Amino acid sequence: MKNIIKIIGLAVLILGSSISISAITHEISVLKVDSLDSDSLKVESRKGYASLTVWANESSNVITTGFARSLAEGGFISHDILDPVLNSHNGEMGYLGGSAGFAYSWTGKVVEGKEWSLCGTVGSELLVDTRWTSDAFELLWYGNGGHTGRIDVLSGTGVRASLFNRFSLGAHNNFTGQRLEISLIQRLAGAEWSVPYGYFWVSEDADSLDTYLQTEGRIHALSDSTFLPAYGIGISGKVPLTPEGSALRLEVEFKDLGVLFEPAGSKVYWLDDGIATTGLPVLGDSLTWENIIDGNISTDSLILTGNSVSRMVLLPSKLSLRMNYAIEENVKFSTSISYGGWMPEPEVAIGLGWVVSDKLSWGVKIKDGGWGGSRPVVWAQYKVTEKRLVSVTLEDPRGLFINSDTSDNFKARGISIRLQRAPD
Amino acid sequence: MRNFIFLVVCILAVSLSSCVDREPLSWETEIFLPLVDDHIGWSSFIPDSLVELGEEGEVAKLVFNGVIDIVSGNLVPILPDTTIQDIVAFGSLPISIPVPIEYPFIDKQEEMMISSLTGTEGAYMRELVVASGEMVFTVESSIKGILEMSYYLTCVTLDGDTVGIDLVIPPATDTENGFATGIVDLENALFDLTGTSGVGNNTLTTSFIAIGSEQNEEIFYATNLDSLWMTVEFHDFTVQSAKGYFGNVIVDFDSESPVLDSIPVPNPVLDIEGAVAKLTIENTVGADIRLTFDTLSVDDQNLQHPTFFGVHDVARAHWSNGQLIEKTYLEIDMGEVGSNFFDLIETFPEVMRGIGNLELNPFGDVSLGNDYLDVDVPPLLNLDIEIPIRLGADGVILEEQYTIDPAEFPQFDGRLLIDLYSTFPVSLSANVEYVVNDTLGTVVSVSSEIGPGSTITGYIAHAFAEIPINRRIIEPGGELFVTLDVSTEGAVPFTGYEDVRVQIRIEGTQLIEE
Repeated sequence: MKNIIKIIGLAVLILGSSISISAITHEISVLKVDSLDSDSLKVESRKGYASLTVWANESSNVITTGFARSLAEGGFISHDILDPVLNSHNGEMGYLGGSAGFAYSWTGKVVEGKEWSLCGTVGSELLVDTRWTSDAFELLWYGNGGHTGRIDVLSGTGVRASLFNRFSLGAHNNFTGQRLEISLIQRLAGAEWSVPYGYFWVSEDADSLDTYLQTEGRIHALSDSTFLPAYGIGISGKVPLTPEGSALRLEVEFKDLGVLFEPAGSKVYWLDDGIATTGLPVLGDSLTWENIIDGNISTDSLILTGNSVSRMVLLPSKLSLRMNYAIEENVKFSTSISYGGWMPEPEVAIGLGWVVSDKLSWGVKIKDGGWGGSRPVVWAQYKVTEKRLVSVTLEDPRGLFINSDTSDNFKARGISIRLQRAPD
Repeated sequence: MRNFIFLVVCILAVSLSSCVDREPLSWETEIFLPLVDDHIGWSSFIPDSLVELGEEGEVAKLVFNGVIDIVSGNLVPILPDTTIQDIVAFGSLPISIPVPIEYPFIDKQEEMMISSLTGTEGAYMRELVVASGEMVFTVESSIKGILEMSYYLTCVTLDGDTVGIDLVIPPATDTENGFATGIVDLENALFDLTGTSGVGNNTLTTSFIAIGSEQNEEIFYATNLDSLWMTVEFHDFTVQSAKGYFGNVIVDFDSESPVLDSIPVPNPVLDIEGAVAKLTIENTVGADIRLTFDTLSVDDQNLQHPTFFGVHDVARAHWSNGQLIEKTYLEIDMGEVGSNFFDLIETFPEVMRGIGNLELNPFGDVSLGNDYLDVDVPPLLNLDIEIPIRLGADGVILEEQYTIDPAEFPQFDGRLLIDLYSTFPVSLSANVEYVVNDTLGTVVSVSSEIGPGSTITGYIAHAFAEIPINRRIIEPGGELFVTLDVSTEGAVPFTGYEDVRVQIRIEGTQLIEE
């Protein structure tokens, strides 16, 4: 799994690099046009804002790098490895998720005196969301032997992953910085599985068993395994709310508020059944524990399969509120809260930033929520030229040393690189 | 850019290389699950229908209700297949005359006597309902015109309508006679055989009408060379119910009936005290019957009984308008003094055989033609036995087999936990044997003693045993045999609620491998 994520991340990086090349090409062409325009028409205009962001992050509230590394390396997973992970659940849900992708955002030529400019975004994002109950984790890794008499709750367990491509066009307010885009979103591929309702119970003396499982899986592909893309429409944008003359800066950003029109044809697997027994026979001679465990029972009567009908689902919308406050000339306080984007919990960040010189500034944050727990974030911004900046953000940098013991106890990691060109 | 691509290739190579030589993932899980939960009681070896449970601590009873078939032959006379032929010739006509179409040129009402009832002499019928049978009416005509003919059994009704056949006979040609045939199904038809007088018997009344059809476009003639050939056939009659006098019929019977063969008790000792056995003759025929037994044997041992082998007359049942108002009975106490019947059934016999005969109307036609019989309500001979279950046994009283299917229990190390809960009022010896489906036929067994329990006091005796098992034993699957051995000193009373609960659970650890 880890290797797959690595490969996907690399693919995104490669794709991102190719986009960055095209971005530079675009910038050059804009420059040429601008020079022509200014020379021939004498109209005052300047180039707009552009940025290219490539990111990959993953976080969990219970899965440590060490545990993930143990799974990746294989071998026997002992209770010494499992116990810390189970204990960190504290009886709550376990989450693991993240995203990887790129986004190229641009603003067209800013004409002097004109309030609005054309803007747009092109990007791609892989989203993964996994969640499970601590009982499900214990049942899978420990078995039921150690906790008979307790109801193992499985409801809420599930996983989903999708690859979204986005193309947006909109308008950018040259004076206020407001930005509103209408996006055409393509879900190129995806799959999901969830247990809306399920439990497993064996009495304390193991003399009776009661279990129920309602689960649904969908693979958004045709029966010949070709992609079944779905398209949707959403709106994205940001609204700066900066009081005049204040050192306080507020910004509301929303992304992909809209719906996805899923076509018919996704493969659907559905099971809704329960077993209550004090032992054999369960449902006649054919349904025995051995057959259940071994998968020999005819699943036709239990698992329903078919193709989905067309439906409308919500996009992984995300809403963020950011605040910056200049405490001193060179010290800034920042905080933000984000919700959505398949994150199970709101993600909150709070931190300080320092301006070291004209070219370099950096900062630290503490981030909590999303899929993960509390984790540090370090960022730095370097002004390469007067107009061009490069920013690097590392989320829980200790977790990036994946193949090192250093990162074994950390549960998150992430990197984001942003290239920006400020408007003239 | 070149450096970047090189970096990507390096990372990719490292990532892929990390997939190589990866050990399979494995982990250990503990399982503790119920496997078998079964109650083995009287119903395991005595059909529920044979046990009458004892309430409030009373002794349960073995209840047997057997029916001996004594009506192997027909008690009612059977209507024979019959063919009636009638030829109407016009040879006496001096000249050709036109066939009328306004009025019948043949109109006959007849009474026919049924003179050949199969059965005994002197029997006669006044009323019949037939379960099956049909009438076929065939006409052949040489008249060169279309004729319409009707043949009706005016004494027979079906759903209230008179039964008959209407035929249209096509005109004869120079080479072929006109021919027509029709069939009517007489299932559930009611025959009134009392004739036009209403007091007769064995009499069929018929009506035959022939007329020229209005379909003829021209006047046609009957000549002295013409004739009509008519055939009426009755066949395949079976009687559903009958009224009349059935005659003095004697029907022999020789029939067997299972008794208590479904109770596999080893070396049984049955305390017969309080047992009841009676033979009931149930007469459902509206005629007197006389039952005579030649032999009654139980597992080839003959019954000795002071009164059983005499003549047993049973009065007629009371029928009214086809409804059975009252049956008549005659009971014979099979266990009366001088009978060896209980000695015969003490060891759970398998088969009882009765040989004798049933005589109908032994005193003649005393009902004056009012015998009544419905074949769906035959007379019965019931043997009812009630024996309190005070039973002694010596040996295996029950054995149950459970199949453990082959399953993957990788590196399993654990045990089968076996609990036995008994309310039988005797000590039991339990033996659990697990025969593994391997090439060696490995057998793992364990024995345990269970003390006496009691359904009256609610005391449940418990025994526990465990069989250590590992992957080698559990993975191939096998057969699990649970046998209970009991030895009693003499007969022990049972309430019927006694049972042994067999509970098997599996507990252990297994290694899950990727």
